[in-house]
Amino acid sequence: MNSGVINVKPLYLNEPKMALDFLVEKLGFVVHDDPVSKNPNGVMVADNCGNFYEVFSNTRKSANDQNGHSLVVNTTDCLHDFYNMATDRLNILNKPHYVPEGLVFEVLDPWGNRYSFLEKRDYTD
Amino acid sequence: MKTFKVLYNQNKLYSEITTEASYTDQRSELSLRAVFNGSETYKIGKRTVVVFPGNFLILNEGTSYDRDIYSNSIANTFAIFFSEKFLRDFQYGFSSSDQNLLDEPIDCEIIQRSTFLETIYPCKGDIKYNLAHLLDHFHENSDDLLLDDYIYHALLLFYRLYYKEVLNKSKRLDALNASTRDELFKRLSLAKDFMLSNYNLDISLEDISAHSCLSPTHLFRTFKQIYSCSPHQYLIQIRLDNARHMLKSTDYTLNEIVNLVGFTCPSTFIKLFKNRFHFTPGTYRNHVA
Repeated sequence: MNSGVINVKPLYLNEPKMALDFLVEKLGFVVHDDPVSKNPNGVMVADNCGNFYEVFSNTRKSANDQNGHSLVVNTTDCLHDFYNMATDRLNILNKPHYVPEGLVFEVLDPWGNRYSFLEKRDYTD
Repeated sequence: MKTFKVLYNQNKLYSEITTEASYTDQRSELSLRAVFNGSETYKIGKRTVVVFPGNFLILNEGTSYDRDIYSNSIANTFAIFFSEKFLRDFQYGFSSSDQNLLDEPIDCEIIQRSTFLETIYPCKGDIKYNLAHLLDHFHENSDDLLLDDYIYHALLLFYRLYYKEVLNKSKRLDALNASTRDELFKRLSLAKDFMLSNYNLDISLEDISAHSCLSPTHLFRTFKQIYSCSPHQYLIQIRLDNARHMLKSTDYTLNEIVNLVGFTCPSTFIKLFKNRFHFTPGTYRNHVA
């Protein structure tokens, strides 16, 4: 049931300004002007499934985790995203493959962060 | 409206949206034929097969057929024609890469195949998503390479399905030898196709038996070995699945749907629907679909 609460995932990135450009221009995120977030230091972005993420500078991240983060991004069309990113020559770690939740591929950003683009599918239908 | 495209590698895509069309003496390449709305009738030799949403048909290269669309609602049909070179490359790619064989454990027997059982297959799960995306991109006139990615996945998913629906299931038959088993499986596929094509009519076990060239007793016993249910139970499942599709994607009233899918009694339909999907048809339409 939709409770009206928007679930926002934090996203800690090195060089957040450049990383934000990468998210928008290469990975297809959209910056949200609507100030849902109460934190003035974060920037709100959304994936194409309407999930929200708030981008912070990596200084807030725990010091013992310096190897880049791993994030699952929901998509409505995995093969299309893969095609666009392959055309853009992004660092794609693996081709789209089938997992129990749907279809997924992984891509690495220039700062070592790993994004899994997952098209969730309903197999009960 | 007809849309047709030949891709750079000679794969072809064809979509037709109409209420009435008739094509005789057609000859196919290996092709996958799906219907997203309405229905499409194929006459292949003496056999008549009707493709409804939720299913697709495979035709082998060289098969002659007639194709008809006569539909009250607009039929939305879609076909992929796989070129010989594409098939060869696909098969080579699989048989030559250990990694592929590890990632996609499809029986090597299928990889070597170029002809398949011409029957109706379920368009569910990944292949349903794949075809829906492909059709959208086809109508958007997307780049050939993108369309080709979807066609590759469609074939991959079909091979998986073939392994599951044909090779695995045929092994369940207690037949004496492989050729008897293959022939028996073909006849049981005729029975299945007859039910899928005529689920909306009043059909009996004797009708199914006559169309599959099996005695009623033999049909009943062997059908259960393959599909884990009786022909009658299978027919009920088809009717309920189609009713669910209509509840989700049409404005037909409940009584209209009951008649359209071949039930005679609304209360029996509601009871069976609830048993299968754990919702009444009304609840399903209002809250789930």
